Amino acid sequence: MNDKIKDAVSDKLDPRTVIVVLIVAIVEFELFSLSRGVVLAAGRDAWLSVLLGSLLLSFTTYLLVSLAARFPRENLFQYSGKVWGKPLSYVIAISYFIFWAGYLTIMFKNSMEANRVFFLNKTPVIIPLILMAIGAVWLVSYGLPAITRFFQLMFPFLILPILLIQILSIKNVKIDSFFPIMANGFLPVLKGAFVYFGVIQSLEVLLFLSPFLTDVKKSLKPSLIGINIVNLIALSQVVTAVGILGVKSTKELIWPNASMLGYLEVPGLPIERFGMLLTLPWLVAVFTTICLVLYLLSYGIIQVFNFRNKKAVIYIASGISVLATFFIPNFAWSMEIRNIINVLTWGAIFIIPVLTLIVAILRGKVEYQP
Amino acid sequence: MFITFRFLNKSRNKKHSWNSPQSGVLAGQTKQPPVVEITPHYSRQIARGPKNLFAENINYNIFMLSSRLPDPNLAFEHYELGSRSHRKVAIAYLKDVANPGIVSEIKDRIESIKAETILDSSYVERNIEDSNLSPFPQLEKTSRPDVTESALSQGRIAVFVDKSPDVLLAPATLFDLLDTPDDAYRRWFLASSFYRIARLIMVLIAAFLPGFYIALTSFSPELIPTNMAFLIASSWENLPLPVYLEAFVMMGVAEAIRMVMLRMPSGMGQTIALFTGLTLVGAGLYARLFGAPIVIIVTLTVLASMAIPDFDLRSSIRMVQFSVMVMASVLGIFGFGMAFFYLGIHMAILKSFGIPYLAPVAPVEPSGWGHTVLRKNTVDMPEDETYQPLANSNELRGEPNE
Repeated sequence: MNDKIKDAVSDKLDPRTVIVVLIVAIVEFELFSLSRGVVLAAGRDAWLSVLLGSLLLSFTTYLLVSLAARFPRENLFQYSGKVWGKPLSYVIAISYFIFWAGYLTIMFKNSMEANRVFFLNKTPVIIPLILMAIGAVWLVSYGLPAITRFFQLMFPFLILPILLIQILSIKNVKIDSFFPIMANGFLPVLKGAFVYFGVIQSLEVLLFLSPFLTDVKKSLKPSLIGINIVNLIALSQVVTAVGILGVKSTKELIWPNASMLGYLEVPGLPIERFGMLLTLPWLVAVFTTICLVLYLLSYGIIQVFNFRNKKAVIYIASGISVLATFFIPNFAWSMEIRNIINVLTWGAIFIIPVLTLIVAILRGKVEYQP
Repeated sequence: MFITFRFLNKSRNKKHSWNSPQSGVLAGQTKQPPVVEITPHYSRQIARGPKNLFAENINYNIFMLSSRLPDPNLAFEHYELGSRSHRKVAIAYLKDVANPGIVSEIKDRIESIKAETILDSSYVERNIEDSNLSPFPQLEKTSRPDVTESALSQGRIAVFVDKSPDVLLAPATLFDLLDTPDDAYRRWFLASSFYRIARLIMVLIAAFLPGFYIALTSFSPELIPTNMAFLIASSWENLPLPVYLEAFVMMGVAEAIRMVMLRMPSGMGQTIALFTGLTLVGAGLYARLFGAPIVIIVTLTVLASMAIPDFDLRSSIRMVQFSVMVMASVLGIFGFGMAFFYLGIHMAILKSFGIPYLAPVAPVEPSGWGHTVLRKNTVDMPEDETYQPLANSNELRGEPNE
């Protein structure tokens, strides 16, 4: 393709784009199973945990945008050298690479499992994985503006079925399931909020999106809207899981929100299998998140180590992640790894960026502006 | 479309010369039209709006445009292409509206064409579009002066090729190709918006319905509502072909009928197509070679594809449709989903002269929705920033950004 005028004409993103990017980037496989983790920690008060986690996530989003706004034409890897010094910036970059590689691998593994269970139980698992990886490599090789355009295109196919399911579910929610409130005290709620915060991977994309935005300062409002739409989706997932299935079943089921669909009935509508409604958003959610994480991982490596062959790095990064899925022996292992990644998310979206912001403020580091 | 014409009087525009390449503003210079005898043939029926069409003579076409748009900013630049055919080519744009980066890119691409003959504007099209591997056309073709005028007012550029009645409009997004003049001329804006949305839905049906049917019935029948699943299952009883093969055969037959309709003389072609189609479907159902559901699916798909106004886009969607069917036949719902993603990825990375192919939907630019996805209620042409990209317009002019 002729890319001669590509960069000059339109590869800057409107800050409003951030709303869609955040929602599509964050919502993934975990959305349909997060109720289980939060309910395991907080029981029937899981909804309070999500609310508390949402507050913390909103505050974190504010801090991330503040950090990005100090260096509007650079990403985290570009300015971490100025803030932390070269050796520490390498440590930070490599930590992110390990986090993203692990996350990407677990996403591929989850896709593999879901494919085997729901769609293609007789097909060798490597085939759908390779097809997903090819699609992701293809998109990622065109960079973040192309990825955001793809996200915007996929957004309605992700959000509309989820909204429809939540609207249909709400009338089946039994309010009694949520009482008494905080019967076990505040600590489980806090623990649930910790779990919920860890589920929100990919929020760190805010630190890598800024060089593409026309005005980073204007991205605060869209970022807050985006993260709070994710919070609302998560809250509705938890409320419908606890309110329809009850605490005990939610704890026992692997994908409580998928199982919940069996309870839905709409008299007069010829739709009975609501699972079909979830199929498309599930595929969209997983694939888009895989694309974004592959982008962050491969472009991060290209930038930090100054690799020239961009496509080779993208191919190798996705190839290694696909191969790594075969070293995870079973689903129990993948759930364990997922839990570890959820804890590491704290470091990726909160600890490192917030410390970077504090050090940047203390050392008076801002982007050099001639 | 076919236009026959005979020159009775040559243009008096003596300033108009065709040395390659040269430029000049032509607006207002062509005072008298070359008189031509035209037998118009409408390739697209419209209910309302001007009925004038371009002819195959470039002078006449340029006169048509400049008489519609007597704006001092209307600029024409002339080229001569083809080492043997010496075909006259001209680009037209509004100097104060068109993006200079896009204008210079089009000029560069036209100047770089190395061909012996230029038989039609399609030869220029395939040489200047961003990707000729893409199934999707990246330039709009029109034989209507009013559509060309509208395009120029949006900041687009028209490419005239002598001996071709089709003017190329660049850049072109998917929504330009789905646009019809009726949308602009219809009195009530809500009706136009409704038809535009309906056309988008029809594109989705044309591209994905057969694949979706194959994926559901062959791989995931548990996702179909019980009553419908029973109905479909009962129609399959004792059928010799599996669903996917049934779908391919029926889509193939539909394509054959469509080709007959296109190629045969109009009245006879339609009669033969109708007769053949009815006979085949009736005999097939009676002999239980295929079931009624697939007939419904194929008919819906063919109908939906007819709603796509652009010929090239229509052909592309049919190719996409077969690709989706192959993926769905092999990998069911997952394959269908992947086909959907691949198509989405291709459209997200595709650009027409730097403008994203899905603008103003991806990237989202609501100000452009007024005459793309919907139609705004206004007496003026709705504001559209699609061709006035977000940033760097100053950089493109060689000026610093403010």
